[in-house]
Amino acid sequence: MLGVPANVLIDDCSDSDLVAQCLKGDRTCFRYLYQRYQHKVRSTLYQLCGPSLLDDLAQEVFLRVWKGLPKLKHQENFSTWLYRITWNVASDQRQAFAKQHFFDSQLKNQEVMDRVILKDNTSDLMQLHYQDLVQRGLEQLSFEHRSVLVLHDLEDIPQKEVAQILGLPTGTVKSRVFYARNAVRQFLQKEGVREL
Amino acid sequence: MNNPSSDQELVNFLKRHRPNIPESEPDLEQKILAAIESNQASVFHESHRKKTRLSASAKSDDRLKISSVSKWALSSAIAASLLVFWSGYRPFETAQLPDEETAKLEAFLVTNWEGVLHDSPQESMTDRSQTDWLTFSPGADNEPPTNK
Repeated sequence: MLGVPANVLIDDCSDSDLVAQCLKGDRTCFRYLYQRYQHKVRSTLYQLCGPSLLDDLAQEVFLRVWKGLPKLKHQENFSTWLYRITWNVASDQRQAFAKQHFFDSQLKNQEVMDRVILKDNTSDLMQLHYQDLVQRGLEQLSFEHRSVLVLHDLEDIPQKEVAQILGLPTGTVKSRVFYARNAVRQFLQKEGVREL
Repeated sequence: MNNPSSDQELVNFLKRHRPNIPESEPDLEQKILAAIESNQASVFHESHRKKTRLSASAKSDDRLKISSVSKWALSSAIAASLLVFWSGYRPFETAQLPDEETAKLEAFLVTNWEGVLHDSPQESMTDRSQTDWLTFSPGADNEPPTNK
């Protein structure tokens, strides 16, 4: 054990320290890793796969992380590795959706909007409209272009790290970001967004 | 071509208006920890076993090589001897006949040889020429050859 039970102190622990403790079988440290990254993982999964099966996919990611920890060579690159697993899970799920003809984005959008409306009655209609547009703008991109846009622009991961996560040259990431931004911008402008 | 400021405006817009992520199930964390607990034993025991196996194999590497060579040699020798024994034994193996057949054959041989040794007068009259060469006749051998 680390001997630091308070979360305040755990925040000071590096990923490497927590991973090292996990490798000794310390599940408490894995819980801290989960709490540190679960929002980013769920956010990425949500942007790539939609709300359907979101929690199941998040669970799958963290299970793969736990099982794969003994094989993680560079513990300081934990977050890159975690995003890589997240992307793999999302990619697998996209293929499963494609095979089952299961992914109905319009329906999902409506579900999301219903949830947002139910959850937050104070949200104004313009905000909801823009959220819908952003979601649709991302969905009209290919999975490859959406991946780089989500990781780089929404999750604030540097291009070099995105390249490592996706196993691509940095130049390819750069060109995909450029293309994806243009496509989303055109979509939003076509839908009447003037502030871009 | 887009300038960096318009790119930044787009990124800000996307971040500001990205859809809210649905709340996770309240017990998601517990479910994940329960799932890894059930996996913990298998994953880490497997890892420990691999490490143990690696260190043990490093120590006994030479011994393993020797034993594997001797194992191959022993199994090859056994296979070769079995093959030789089987192929050598098969030609000498006689067919096993039923008792009845054996008795018939024995009876036939006895009567056949008795017929050869003790010719009946009838046979000697009719088929003498066929058995002449078996009978010993010193008188004929002692006669000097003649040029007739």
